[in-house]
Amino acid sequence: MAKVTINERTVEVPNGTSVMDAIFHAGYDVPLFCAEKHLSPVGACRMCLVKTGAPRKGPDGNFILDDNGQPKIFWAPKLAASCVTAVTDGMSIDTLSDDVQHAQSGMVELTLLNHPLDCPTCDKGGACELQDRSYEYGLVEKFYQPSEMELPLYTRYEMTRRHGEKHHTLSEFVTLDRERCIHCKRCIRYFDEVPGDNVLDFIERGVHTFINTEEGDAGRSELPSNFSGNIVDICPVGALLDRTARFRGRNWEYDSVETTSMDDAAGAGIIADTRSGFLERIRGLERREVNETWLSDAARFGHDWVNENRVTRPLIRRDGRLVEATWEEAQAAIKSGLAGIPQTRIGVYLPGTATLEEGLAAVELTQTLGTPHRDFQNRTEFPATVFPAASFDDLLDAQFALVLGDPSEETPTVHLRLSEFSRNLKPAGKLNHGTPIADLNIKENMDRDTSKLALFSPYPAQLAKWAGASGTHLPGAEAALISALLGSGEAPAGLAEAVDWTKKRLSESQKVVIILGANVLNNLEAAQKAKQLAEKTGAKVMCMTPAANARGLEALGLYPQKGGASWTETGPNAAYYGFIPTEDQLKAANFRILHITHRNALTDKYADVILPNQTAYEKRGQMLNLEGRVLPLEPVSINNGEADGAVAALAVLAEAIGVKPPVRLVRQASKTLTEKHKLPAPMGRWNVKPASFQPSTPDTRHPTPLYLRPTMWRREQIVGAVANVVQVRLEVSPETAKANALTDGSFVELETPSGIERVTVKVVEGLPGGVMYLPALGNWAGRSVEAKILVGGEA
Amino acid sequence: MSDKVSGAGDALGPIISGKDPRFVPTLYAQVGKDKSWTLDFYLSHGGYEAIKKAIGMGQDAVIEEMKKSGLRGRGGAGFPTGMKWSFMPKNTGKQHYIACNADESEPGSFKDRYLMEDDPHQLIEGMMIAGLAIQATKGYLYIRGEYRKAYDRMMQAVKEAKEHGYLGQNLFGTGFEFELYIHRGAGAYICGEETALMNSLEGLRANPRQKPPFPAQAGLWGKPTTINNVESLCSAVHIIQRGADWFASMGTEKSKGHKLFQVSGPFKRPGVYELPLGTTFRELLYDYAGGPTEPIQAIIPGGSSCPPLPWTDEILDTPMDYESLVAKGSLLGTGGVIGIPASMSMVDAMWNVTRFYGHESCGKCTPCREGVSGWMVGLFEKIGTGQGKKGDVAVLENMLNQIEGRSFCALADAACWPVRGSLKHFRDQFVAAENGQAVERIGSRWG
Repeated sequence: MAKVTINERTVEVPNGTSVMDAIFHAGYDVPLFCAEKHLSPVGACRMCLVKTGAPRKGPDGNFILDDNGQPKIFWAPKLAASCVTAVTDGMSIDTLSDDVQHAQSGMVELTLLNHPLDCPTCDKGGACELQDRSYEYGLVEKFYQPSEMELPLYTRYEMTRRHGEKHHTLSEFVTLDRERCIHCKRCIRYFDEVPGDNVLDFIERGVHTFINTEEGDAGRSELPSNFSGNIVDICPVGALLDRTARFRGRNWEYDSVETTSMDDAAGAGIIADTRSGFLERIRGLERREVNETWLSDAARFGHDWVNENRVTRPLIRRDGRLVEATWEEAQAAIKSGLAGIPQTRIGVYLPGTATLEEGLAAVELTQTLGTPHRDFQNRTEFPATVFPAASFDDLLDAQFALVLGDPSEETPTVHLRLSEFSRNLKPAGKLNHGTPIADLNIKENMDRDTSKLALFSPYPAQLAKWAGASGTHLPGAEAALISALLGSGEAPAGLAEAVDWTKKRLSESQKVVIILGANVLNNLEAAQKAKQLAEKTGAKVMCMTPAANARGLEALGLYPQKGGASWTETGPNAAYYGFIPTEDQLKAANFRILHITHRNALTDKYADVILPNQTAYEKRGQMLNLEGRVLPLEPVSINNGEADGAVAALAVLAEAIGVKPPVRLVRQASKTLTEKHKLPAPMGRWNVKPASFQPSTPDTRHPTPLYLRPTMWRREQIVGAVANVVQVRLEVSPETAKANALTDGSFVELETPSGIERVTVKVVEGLPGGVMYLPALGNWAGRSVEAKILVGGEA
Repeated sequence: MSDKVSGAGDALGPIISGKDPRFVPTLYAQVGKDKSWTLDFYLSHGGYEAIKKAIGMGQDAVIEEMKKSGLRGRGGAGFPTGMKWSFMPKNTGKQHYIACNADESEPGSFKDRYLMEDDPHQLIEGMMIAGLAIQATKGYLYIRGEYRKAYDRMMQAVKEAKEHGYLGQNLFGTGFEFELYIHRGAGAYICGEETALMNSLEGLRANPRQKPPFPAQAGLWGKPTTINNVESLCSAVHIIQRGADWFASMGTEKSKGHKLFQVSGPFKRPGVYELPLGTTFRELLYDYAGGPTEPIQAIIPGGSSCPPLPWTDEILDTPMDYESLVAKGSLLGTGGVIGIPASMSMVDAMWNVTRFYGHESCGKCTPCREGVSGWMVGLFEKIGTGQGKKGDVAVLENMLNQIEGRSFCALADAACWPVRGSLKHFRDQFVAAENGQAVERIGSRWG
């Protein structure tokens, strides 16, 4: 620990803390623009200049003392940028003297020279760091008041400002205003350091410096990254703005709710901004243990769907048509529909985004009914809870990570944490009251250590660039691959060398983390081998489950009991579905209750009762992320009519059946979870006992499988701007295209678990042959089905 | 060769004049001679003997010798070279690098150019000595983009040296190895800043890097690196060959040795002159450069970033060494003396200089990007074109306070010093311009 004096206040901070953090820790303020604690410190904006001094040792080895007998402080001749200066023991820091104030206010003046004062039309207005500092330092008398009797000047800068492009469309999601840019370089550093996609850089120099993509103006307007939205959050001014939220409201008009993203199993923290009942914007919430402050583009920009075409009232089928009804009428309709159906033949199926509370309600209700038919959407064939969960801190601490899957698409947060892992960063230090401190070890242009990562996936994965060994294999070849890693059997074709390297690294490493994708978890044989591998290497495991709350729902026992049908199977005579199942399942049941947010052709054709559901944003409750960490969900006020969550809907169902609902209220369920299931408080980790499971039907082999590759985008999100970005294409290798008479760019209609889809064909060099790839868009991710092409033809 | 000179200075005092009979030019001794850039010519006057001697002395002795010589970096900052070499960690097991800064872009400086064009092997040998001293087996020579001829000559020299076994593995059968790579810049003044030079060599945007870590800890590709000026490295050859005492016999107490001075402006014989440190301006400008061809009002003593000094007898009799010039409120810099004629307005001269620095600002930090590149250039344009008003000079002066010492690297300081110096000595001209007196613009201009 270093003892540092800041303006006469002495604090102790860990060695290596930046002067800036020490100043904050002491309760003083220092202005900043370029510093961002998750990025490398660069000291470019020069806002945080402070005066520093340190004691010096004399020739006798003792500190030189001043008149009072204290070590004399020798002040540095130049002011130091506090974000890039590390504290030393005995250091003195001055943030209040005239020198420092003059430097800081002078820097605000310089920063403002070429910054347009268009705050009234700027989306950042009201939440802008530059605006705040301008108010704070703006009218410093010595600059702007020529004499005591005169009015202050508006500015001393009497030249024409630099002009630049005001609305440069960087991508479908992000717009750049080059006049507002203050060149803090946060966005450039972010892309380089965090996701590792070098897509932005400074062009030109001096006062003409501006930001552009690598392709420049001639290129396509897109940021080829799954994480482009984060630059909007970190931009200290309104230069980079979220196009999906642009001009939808002023910052002070939004209701901001801190909750958890249910877009993937990582449980990233989000701030949901609503205005007049519409979800307008999502920002990253700093949750250092999980997502730090970063979000994937799907979690940030894929929110427009919750405002549109919602089911706002219950619907019941009357004379073959769905008509609006009240909840009471819906309950009556359920009661009459379920008459004569035994309680043990009723199924309850929740979506993968169900909260722990909803899972508890479903489990307790099915237990009361004695039905084995219960499950949740996108549950993997092999339960994730069987593996000992690795936390993100475990990952940073590990010596080697083996990835079987594609983190960039399955759980994008894992991609970002693997980025830190590949830069050999350790979990950030904390001040003694728990605030994380900026890591001065982060440097610009750091090398990635490729000796720590191996990656194998059934579809080319971005992260192969940081892996010492990597390879693409056929979907279904996972078992053979893991067997080879275990030392028995041949490696799949072309992977022998990579497997040998990985085996060697696995045997050398003490701390290993294995990251499993949906393709492994859905392949029973492969998953069992992965378990052996984890046991052999003593590894902790991260399961990138397609269902966000898979670990939590499995832990509560929400999977089919003996004789029960899983979420992909037909079975129960009557069923409550919290999602839209396959047509076969809908057809097979006699009575179908769909508790959904949006209708489609299938629901209108088959549903007997539709209940309005809440999206994950509107729920109160808790979820368990892939680390087994309990994360809270707070309800965001979105216009949803009479929508209610599964806890209430299942209570309605119970009463319609004629049993006492085991759980009626979310808070009641939360209490039961805490008291009976010993669920820790939010941010704590729940060490769940491994699920006892019965192997279901083994993977069927298909002559030409259609592999539903995991994607970060889900089907319902594809509206508005997202629809222009997400490309749903059937991807095949040239040989497979030839064998199946498919040509590049032609349209095909094919049968998928989500219904019949019309997509274009894309022939991609280098893909494994004999398999077709279709983005799963949230449903059936990591599974193979038989490819059934119904109609093919030229574009 | 001239061993008789060694140590001879003791009785007669240090050599502080080019006219001292004991002074022998060494750095530029071969410049201008026929085929002086070939290996054969270099070998004909004792070439590549210094490196052999250095290998015999060993790493520590070479550094000691350099420290003893008192050689200070000739790139402008004047940091002791031997000290710099001694900062390099030893036996780290990592690759060490020696980089030579030949991005000589300071207006008024053109000494390194002829060293590379006419005596390239001297520089190669200097880099080898540095490589030996800091355990660097790889060297990078970063040549200013505009120096096409120097680049060609250096490329040719490196090729020749490689072919004849003066670069590569196991040199002279001693196990010493050294590889030299040449990189040509793309025309950015900022690449002369050592950390920006490293970024540029790595293929990154030429922005200066944060120090610490200093290059000796983490330089090129994160490995220990030392960066030296061309002249410093060439001087090392002669220090090793003739001994530190010979070198230290020249110059003043704290500024030892000899230096290349450059003269530009209205003088009879502008050019590069090799003289001992401590020589007076008068000797350089009258005895060597032949005196001015028209009345001079100011001289910039060390390249455009140094504050100008008025053309007075006091200044002309000032010895050219690091300390004397600091005492006069200026800097020795690279030793590029620029004469500013009395017919030219100082406002115009400083406008030209400021525009240069504004154009060359990399844009990384706020004071340099907005202050130097934006505001200062704009203010000069305003004053220079007769649109100035009362108070503009005060704003300019205030601006200097706001920029100087607060920027990321020294480029912004370099832009401020000449303006500050001009305001000190020639304030009346600025005030006249501020009051609307048009600035007469003469001569060819930068940009």
